[in-house]
Amino acid sequence: MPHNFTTVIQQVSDSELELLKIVWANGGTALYAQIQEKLTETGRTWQKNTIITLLSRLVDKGLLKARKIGRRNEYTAIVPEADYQAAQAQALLNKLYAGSAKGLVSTLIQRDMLSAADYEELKQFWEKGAAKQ
Amino acid sequence: MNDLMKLVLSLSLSGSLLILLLLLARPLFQGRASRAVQYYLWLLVIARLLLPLTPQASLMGTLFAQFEKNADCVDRKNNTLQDAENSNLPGYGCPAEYTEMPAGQGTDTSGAPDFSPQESLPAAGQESAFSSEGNAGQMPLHRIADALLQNLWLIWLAVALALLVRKITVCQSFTKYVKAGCREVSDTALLDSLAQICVRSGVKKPVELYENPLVPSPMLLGFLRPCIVLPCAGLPEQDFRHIIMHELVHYKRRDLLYKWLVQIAACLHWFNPLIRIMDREACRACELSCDEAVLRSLPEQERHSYGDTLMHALSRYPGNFSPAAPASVTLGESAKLLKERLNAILCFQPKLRWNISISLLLAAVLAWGFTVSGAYRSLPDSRQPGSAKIIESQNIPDSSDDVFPEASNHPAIDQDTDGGALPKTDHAFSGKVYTYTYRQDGFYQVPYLFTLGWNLLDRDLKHYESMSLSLSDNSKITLLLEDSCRDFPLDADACQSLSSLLLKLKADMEGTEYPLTLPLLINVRNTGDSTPLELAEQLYQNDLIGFSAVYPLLEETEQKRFLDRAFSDSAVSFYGCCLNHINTDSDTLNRFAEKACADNQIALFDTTLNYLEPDGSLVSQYAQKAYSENNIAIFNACLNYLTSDNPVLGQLAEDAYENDNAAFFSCLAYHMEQDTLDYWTARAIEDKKSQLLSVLFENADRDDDKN
Repeated sequence: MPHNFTTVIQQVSDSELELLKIVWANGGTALYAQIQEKLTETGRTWQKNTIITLLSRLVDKGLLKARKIGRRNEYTAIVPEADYQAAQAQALLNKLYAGSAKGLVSTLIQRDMLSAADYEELKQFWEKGAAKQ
Repeated sequence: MNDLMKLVLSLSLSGSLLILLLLLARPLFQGRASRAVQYYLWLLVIARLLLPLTPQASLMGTLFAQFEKNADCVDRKNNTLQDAENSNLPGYGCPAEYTEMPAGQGTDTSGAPDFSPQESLPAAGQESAFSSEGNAGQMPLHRIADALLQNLWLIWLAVALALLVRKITVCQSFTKYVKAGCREVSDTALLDSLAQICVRSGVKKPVELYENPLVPSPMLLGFLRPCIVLPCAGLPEQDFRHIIMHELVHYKRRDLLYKWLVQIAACLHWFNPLIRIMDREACRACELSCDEAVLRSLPEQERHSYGDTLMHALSRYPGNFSPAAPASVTLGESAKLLKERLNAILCFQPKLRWNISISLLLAAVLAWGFTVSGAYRSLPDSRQPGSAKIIESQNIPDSSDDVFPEASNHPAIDQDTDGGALPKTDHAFSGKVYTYTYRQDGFYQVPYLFTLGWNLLDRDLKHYESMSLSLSDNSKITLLLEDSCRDFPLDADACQSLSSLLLKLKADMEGTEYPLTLPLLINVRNTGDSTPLELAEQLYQNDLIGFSAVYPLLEETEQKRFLDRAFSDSAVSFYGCCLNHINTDSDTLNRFAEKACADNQIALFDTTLNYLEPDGSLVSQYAQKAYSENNIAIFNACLNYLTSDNPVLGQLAEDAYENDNAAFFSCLAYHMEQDTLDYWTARAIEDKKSQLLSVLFENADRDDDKN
């Protein structure tokens, strides 16, 4: 069932987001051990309790679901990554650009934040959309 | 006063004693014993305040027994003045309450010395003599006071519950308030630091970390899901660590629970002023011992900086912050306490060796205080499994065929109205006690002396060994055996003797109210070559049933000798037994009666009267004599043997009426017929003799259960 990204998704901290990304990257489900492994791979030296605390915060916010398999914990993402990104993007637009994407795009262009390839892609997308109308 | 109220008061008193003890002891072990000791000792005090545990004999127990005894005396006095149920007056109606078998009267015997009924009768007599109409006005006041005392527990409970509920709601709203303003601390460095300290302190559960600027001091919230709330997360690293360590110590020791126990005790004992002191002191002990634990785990050079942490964290908010309910355990709730804590940090030393002995000593003293002070314990029902009962004694029956055994070996006895000793037996049957009576008798089949009981209930089969005896008419009978007779089946001669006895008994009892069933062999004795006289000598004053079996076989002179002896020894039961079997003339009986009267031996007197010819004239003489000598006990004893149409009774009633002698009149009223009572009632109403009226009314009601 597609998650309605217009529902308010609580703010997560950077560290929590990092964990979410790991879960998403693992196919939307990950065991605690896997999460921890990935973290150490990326150079994070968080303590066990810290990770557990962060994960339980995510569960409380409704972004993760925890399940026990035997003695191990398995975390499943409730909100797919795409939905989350969309929600965050919308929130950004609302906050800074009064809900309109134009302002954002012009910022990106003016500040040279878009690469040439990105620009091309964007232009094609835009023209296609205009043609439809 | 209600039992619950008494319990609460006693707990409060004991607790107060312990509180005082601990307070007094404080200066002694200041700086010598570790703070943790104090902390745990306060726990002992709280336990004393909350738990109704007490040994059998305790300070509170005796204190309350005294209190109850006095209350009883007052009650008795009040009762004789009221027209309510008079618990004393039945004493007039039961003439034969013998001190041989101490009896509990209707009133409370808890802890009070047994009022030997003989005492109570004259006492009551005096009181009624004193009574005057003027006391009637005090009665309502007494009643109000009494009612108030009885319902005191309601007031106490209402207030205690109100306080508790208030605490809980305050706690909840406080928690909500705090939680509302919380922000998660996401700094992983801090979270890691927290996690490391948790591991070092041995806390397994992950502890959440929040920040809430509205909170005056760092605190720990939550029983099941612990979280630490800081006013500001941006602390220097060392401060952060110290704070976390402090809070974790609180968590590990379940100080939240400790504080709740203190609060519950404070609610339940709201009326006790010392409780406030205990509250304060216990909290102090809590914080100080927490500090001590933290200091112990810090390296020496860091200890001073712990003090710095406290200063930074707490001195921002002068004054007290303590929520009315312990929703949380904080770093500190009072700036005043802060000074003491800083002082303690400066003086901190790791445990000295002799700290332990002082601590132990103190703990021992307090524990002793705990047990000795005890609590009120409502007297256990006199029924306890396995033990013998003391039964209410009743009138001696008119014809006592058998006599009652002494209460030493056998369970206490009750008496049947048609005569005969019926011992009650109590058995512990999975904790419950049931009683019933069975007949007992002694039989002398030379050379065996049997003590038998019979008509036991089937369910007692499992309590006794049993054997099957075959009788000579080819029937079998199941015989139960007391523990002492377990070897009986081995003695063939004895078995033979018993079976012939049982056959005879069975035949005798066939068709009567109590046919022979399920006999119980209580005792068997091979008397060998002993003559009846020798046996009688041995059994006299020792075994009534055996004696009664042997006595009929004695020579007449011997019997007389025993009779005299029993009389002079005041061995009432043996005396009665002798009278039963001996043929005496009325002169001898008269002689005994006179002597018993003169010696004021009610029991002997009554027993003797039993055997006097029922012509009433002798007895009435005694009654008149007793009346003129104001000897109510003898008087009462006589009344039992006079028929209600005896003219002497009328004369005495008239005399008692004229002189307003309520005590004697009451005795007489007990034996009056209804129409006589009506007559006197009418007269008393006319002459406005209120006290006699109350006596008459009381006797009008009891007609149903008379005899």
